[in-house]
Amino acid sequence: MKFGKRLKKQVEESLPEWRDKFLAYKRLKRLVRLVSASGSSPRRHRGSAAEAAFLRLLDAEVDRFNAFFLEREEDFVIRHRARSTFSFCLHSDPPSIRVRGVNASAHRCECDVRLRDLIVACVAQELKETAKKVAEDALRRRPLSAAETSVRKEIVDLHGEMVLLLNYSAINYTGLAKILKKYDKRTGRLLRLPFIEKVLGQPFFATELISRLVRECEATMEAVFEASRGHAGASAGTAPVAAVAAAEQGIFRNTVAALVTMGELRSGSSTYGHFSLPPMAPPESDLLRCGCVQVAAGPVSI
Amino acid sequence: MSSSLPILPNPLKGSFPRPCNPQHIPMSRQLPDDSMPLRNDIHQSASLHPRAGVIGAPYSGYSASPLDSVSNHDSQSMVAPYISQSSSFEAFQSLSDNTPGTHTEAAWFTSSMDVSPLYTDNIAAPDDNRIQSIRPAMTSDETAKHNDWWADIMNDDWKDILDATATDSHSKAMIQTSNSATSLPAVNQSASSHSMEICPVASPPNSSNASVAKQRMRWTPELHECFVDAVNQLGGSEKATPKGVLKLMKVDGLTIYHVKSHLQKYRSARYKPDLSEGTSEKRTAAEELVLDLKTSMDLTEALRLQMEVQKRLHEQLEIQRKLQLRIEEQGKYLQMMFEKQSQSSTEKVQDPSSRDTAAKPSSILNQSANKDSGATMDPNRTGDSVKTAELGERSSGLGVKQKLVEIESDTEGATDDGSKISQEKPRKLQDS
Repeated sequence: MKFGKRLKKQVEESLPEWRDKFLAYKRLKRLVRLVSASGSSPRRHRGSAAEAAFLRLLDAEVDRFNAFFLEREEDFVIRHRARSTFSFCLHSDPPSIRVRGVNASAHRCECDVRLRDLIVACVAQELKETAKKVAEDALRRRPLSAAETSVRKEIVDLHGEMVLLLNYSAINYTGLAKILKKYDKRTGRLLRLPFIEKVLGQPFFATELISRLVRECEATMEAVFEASRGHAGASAGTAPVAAVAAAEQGIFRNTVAALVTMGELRSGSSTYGHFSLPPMAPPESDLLRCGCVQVAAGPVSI
Repeated sequence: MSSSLPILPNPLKGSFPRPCNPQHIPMSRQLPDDSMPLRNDIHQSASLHPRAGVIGAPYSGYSASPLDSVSNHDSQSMVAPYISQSSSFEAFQSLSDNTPGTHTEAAWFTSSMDVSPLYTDNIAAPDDNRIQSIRPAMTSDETAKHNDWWADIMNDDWKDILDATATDSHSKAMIQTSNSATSLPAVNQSASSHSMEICPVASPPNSSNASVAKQRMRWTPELHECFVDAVNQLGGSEKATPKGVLKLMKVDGLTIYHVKSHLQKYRSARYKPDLSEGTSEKRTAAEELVLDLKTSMDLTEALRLQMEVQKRLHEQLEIQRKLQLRIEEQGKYLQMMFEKQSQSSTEKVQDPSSRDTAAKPSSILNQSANKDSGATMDPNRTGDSVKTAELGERSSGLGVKQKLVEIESDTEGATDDGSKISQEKPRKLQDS
C-alpha cells in the first residue's frame, strides 16, 4: 500500500511526458487480489483467467519499459555527444584540445593547425559558427556569455534527465519485485524468482551505458566548475538566489522528489525479508534541505 | 476448414480500407467469412505452426505484396505470444474501434509467420502507419477468437475488470509500441561492437506463453559515432539520406527504419541548440558587462547546486542497484542449494556421505549468508517465524533438512523460498 502511494507521488513529480510510463502498480495489485480471491477449484476458470491477465500485463509492462527506456537512451546518446564535443571546445585551452582529441575527426587534424580549423573539425558543421565565437570568448577569459551558460545548463539538464531515467528504471524494478512478492505470497506459486531473473536481463535494467554517460557529464561539469571557480569572486550572497533559480526547474524538482521518495521507501518496512534493501543513509542536510524548502515554497521569480 | 483455403488466394484485388499502404493486404474482403473458423482452429490446436504451414502456403506466391522485413519481424514476434496463449481473453471494446479489415489482416499475419523469412531481404519503403496497424489487429483477432469460448464463462463483473485491464494494458502497449515502433522497430545489440546480430529481446515469459520477441535497437555511443561519421561524409544531417547513411555504415542488422528514426532525432537535436543559441546571443549584445558577470555567477551556482543533488541521486541509485543485484544473486544461490538438497535427499535417504557433502556447502552458505545479511535485516517475526516453525516441525526426522531450515531462519527466508520448502516437504515426506 505504501509503495503505491509513493509511486503515485513520484509519478506526479516527474516530467510530464514520463507520467504514464511508470509501472501500473495498482492495476497489478487488483489482479493479484482477484487471483487470490478465486483460488479454489470450482472457479478455476476465473482464477486462471486472472492469472493469465496478470502475467500478460506484466509482460506488457516490461515491454513498455524497454521501449521507453531505449528511446530515451537513444536520445541521450545523441544529445550527450553533441554537448560533449561542444563543451570541450568551450572550456579547453588550444594546446589541450590538440592533445585531448575529442572525437575521431579531431584525430585526423594536423598538430599545428590553427584553432579555428580545429574547432571546425571538432564540432559538427551546423554548430560551426557558434563554436567559433564562443571559443574565442573563452580564450579571452571573458565572463560567460549567455550561449555558454545555456550550454552548461543544457549539460546539467541532460545529466539530470539521465539520472531520472535511472531512477525510473529503479522504481519500476522495485515495483515489479514487490508485486511479484505479493503474487507469490497470495497464490503460493513461484513466479518471482524466474521472472525477476528475466527482468534483470532486460534492457531497461541494463543501465550501465547511461551511468557511464552520467559520469562523463559529471566529469565535464567538474571541469567547468573548476574553471569557473576563478571567476567566482563574490558568490557568497548568491546561494539562496541560486537555489531558487534551480528549484524552478522541473528536473530539479523531480530529482529532489526522487531522493526523498527513495529515502522513504527504504526507511523502514514491516515486511523485511530476505530480499529487502537496507535503510538508506540519511540525506545530506544542507543541500537537500535547501532544495526541499525551495521546492516546497513553489516557483518564485528571481 | 480446407474448403476455405481455395478462397483465400483470390480476392487480392480489393482495396484495403485502413489508412496504410494500399498495396498491403489486398485480400481483405473475402476473409472475414473464413476468418472465424480459421482462428478457432488455430486457437484450439494451440500451436501455430502446423496451421501456418497449411495456410501460409497459398500466400507464398504473393511476393509482390510488400511485406517488408521489419514488420515481418514485428509480426513474427508479436504474433507468437498472442496466438499461443491457451487461456487469454481480450478487450471486447477494441472490436468496435477496428474495421473488419483488421481481422483479416491479423489472420493473414498469423498465417504468414512461416512466410516471413522469404521477405527478409526486402527493404521496401515503409509506411509508418503500417506498423501501427499491425498491433490493434492482434487484439481484435484475439478478441474474436475467444469470443465464443468465454461467452458462457465470464460474468459481468469479471468482464469489466479484466477487460479494463486487458484493454488498458493492451491499448497502452499498443500505443507505446506503435509510437516507439514508428521510431524504433529494432534489434537488440551487444554493447561494444558495430556488427550486430539480430537477437530478439525476450521479455520474461510465463510458463504458458511463448517468449515475446520484440526486437529493439540499442544505440550505443559507438554506433552513434559511426552514424555521425556517415552523416558527415554525406554532407551533414540535412543532406544525408537514410539510405545513404545505411549503406555507409555497413552495420549488419541495421534497417532503414532505425536509421530514419535516428536521423530524425539527430536533426531535431541539432536544430534546437542552434535556435536557442541564436536568440541568446542577441541578448548578450544588449546587456552590460557587470550584469553579465553577476547573473552568470548566480546561474553557475544554481547549476552547481542542481548538479550536486543529481549526483547524489545517482550515487544512491548505483548503491541500490548493486545491492539489489547481490540480493538476487544470493536468492538464486539459495534456491540452487535447496534444489540440490532435495534431489540428494530423495535419492539417498539415509546416506551419511550425502549429509556430509550437504553439510559443508550449507555451512559455507550459512557463513556467506550471515555476512551479507547481517547488515541488512530487521526480522519480521510473525509471518516468517510461523512458517519456519512449521518447517522445523516437519523436518525433525531428517537432519539435513533441519540444517537447511536453520539457514533459512537465519537469513529470514523469503516467502517464496518458504513456500517452496513447504511444497517440497509433503512430496518428500511421501517419498520417504
